[in-house]
Amino acid sequence: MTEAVVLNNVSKSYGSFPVLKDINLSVEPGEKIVICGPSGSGKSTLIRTVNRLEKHDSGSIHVDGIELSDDLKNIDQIRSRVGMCFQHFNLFPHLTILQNCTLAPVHVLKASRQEAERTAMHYLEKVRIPEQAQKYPSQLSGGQQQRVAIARALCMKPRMMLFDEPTSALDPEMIGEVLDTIDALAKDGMTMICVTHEMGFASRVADRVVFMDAGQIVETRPPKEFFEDPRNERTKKFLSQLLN
Amino acid sequence: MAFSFELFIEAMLTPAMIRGAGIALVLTVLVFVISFFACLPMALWLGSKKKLRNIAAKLYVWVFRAAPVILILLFVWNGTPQLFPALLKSSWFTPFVAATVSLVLITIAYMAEIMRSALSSVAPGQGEAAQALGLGRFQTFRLVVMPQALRIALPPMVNEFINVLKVTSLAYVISLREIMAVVNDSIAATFRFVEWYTAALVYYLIIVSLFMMLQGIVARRQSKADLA
Repeated sequence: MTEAVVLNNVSKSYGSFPVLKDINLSVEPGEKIVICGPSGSGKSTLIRTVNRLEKHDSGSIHVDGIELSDDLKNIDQIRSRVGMCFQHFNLFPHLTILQNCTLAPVHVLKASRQEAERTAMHYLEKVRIPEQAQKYPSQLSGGQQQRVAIARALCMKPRMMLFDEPTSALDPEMIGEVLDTIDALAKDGMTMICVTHEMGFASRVADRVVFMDAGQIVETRPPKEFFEDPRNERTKKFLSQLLN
Repeated sequence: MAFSFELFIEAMLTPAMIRGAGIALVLTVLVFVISFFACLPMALWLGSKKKLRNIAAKLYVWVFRAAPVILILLFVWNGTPQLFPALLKSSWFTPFVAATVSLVLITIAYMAEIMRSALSSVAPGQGEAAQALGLGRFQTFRLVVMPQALRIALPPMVNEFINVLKVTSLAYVISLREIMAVVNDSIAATFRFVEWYTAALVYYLIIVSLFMMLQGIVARRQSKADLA
């Protein structure tokens, strides 16, 4: 079986500042990976290289067996298979919720409008928000907007989802509803890579937790071991800071 | 001599005047539409990180914002035939064409600045989200970035439209028969300044009002999305 994602010696720097150093990671289909680490450790950059929102400088990245190169065809192919949710949702403010969900299926997958709307309603129901379909993003709460963003990504029928701190911009009372949605998606068997500081969510959902610091992967372990018996000093320090 | 209402109405209804107003309106719309499409690449170049493009665009804007409209009009109408004598014999190089070219050159510079600032005010996350969904670069621009930039650019664009309408009056210097040219000639024949100037003013007011109504309709359509 092909790996969902394989990163091989991936490095990247902004000018002379290295943000990713020799990253090696492979993700099996159906696997749930949580990436955590202090801010500036390169977690967001790492998942953004997987759908080429950031270009890596060296090493190789394969997604679903396709190598990410400068070939635009490959990039488009990978992007339509990999869904992504952002910290600030990034819904399109000039389109209704339903139009947000149908834009890419209609223009990228060339689905008919009726078909795209049917799919959109299906996923809006899945994230428990179908009654908002005709509203605009600015009329929704942050938690609702992030659930729409998840539905919008799912409308492309991705094989994998990337989450870049999906709850960091949310009020505390809205974090739960978004994590529950991602939880449900995980139970359906979706492959996912999630950057988050929600350690409860990590221990509940993740198959492996990746801890990053200063552009490197420090340890990669199952959540139980990771939380109960961190091996590395930096991990211990991070976890104790998170708990206090 | 008191203001003669009859003469004013007569001035309003003179065929030359109506045709002059038509020329001003058509010229304005034509200049505006051409400039709008031509300003897009210029706006992208103004915001480009590529040095050469950026400098070329800035140089263009610098020149055409500094140059007086009359100078550009005379330059295009009198100057280009000196460089390309074939233009003198050509039947298509009319004052209307020269005025269109001149005003497009100037309007591009102003509209490019408006579009650049509107495009840069669209959050970068918008383009990223569109690309992450698999939309190509052109689709992202057309379907996601541009509609949001246009909403921001609408009020200054309408200002620019009104501005273009007003500077069409300068095209009388290259003998384009627009409103002011007709007015000047009529005054030379009748010495009735007030009636003819008032008639011209009313025509400009009518054209501007028409487009402000149009702006109102567009803005109302957009505001649905900005409720909260």
